[in-house]
Amino acid sequence: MTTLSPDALKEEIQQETAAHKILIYSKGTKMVPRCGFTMETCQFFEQLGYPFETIDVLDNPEKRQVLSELTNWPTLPKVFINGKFYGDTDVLGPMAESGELTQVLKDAFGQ
Amino acid sequence: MTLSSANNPTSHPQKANPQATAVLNALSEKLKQTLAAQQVEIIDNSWQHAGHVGADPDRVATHLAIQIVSDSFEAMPLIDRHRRLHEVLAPEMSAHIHALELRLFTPAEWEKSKK
Repeated sequence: MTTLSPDALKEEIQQETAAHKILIYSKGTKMVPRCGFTMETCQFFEQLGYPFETIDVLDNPEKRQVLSELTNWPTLPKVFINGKFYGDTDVLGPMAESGELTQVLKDAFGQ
Repeated sequence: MTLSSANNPTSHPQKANPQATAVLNALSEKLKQTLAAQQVEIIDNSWQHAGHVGADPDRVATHLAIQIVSDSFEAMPLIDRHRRLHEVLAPEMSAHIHALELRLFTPAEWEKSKK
């Protein structure tokens, strides 16, 4: 794996979070999750019926470090919606219950 | 979900581990004091993960679900409450916590959630 500089990694993350309406930085992928919380997060968005992408950063400590600094959030998975960081399902779950998430997703998908 | 009382953190009944109990009691006490919490409940799910890939048999209290009710969360967005917990739990997260679920309520939210 090529190692990018922190600045190049930031650039890469900005491009990735801009390219996907819902992006999960995860341990493993949606096809092969390698963490219970990653699996749970994928199921969460599957149930909501919105398309999402996963990017596996389990084996990329440099990128994990940059991601943690950018978000001020130490753990994986990390969920971005429309380029904005939302934490994980412990945050998104209550947002779904309150109805707040529906609006965020409608705005993100232009509905 | 049924949660245990703060003074008696749960571990798997068949695998009660004095070392884990001590760790969880200390953690519960720390959270109560640091966050001036009215309620701290910890569920230790570590036993469910014993033996899985990467599990270290010498580490206890690796998979925790923690529920906290505290006035200090008032007017604080949920994401910032989590950040506060990450800050408070930083030593434990580098020492033994591998997976953490958090449910963070103000007293008013907690009352509402019970209805």
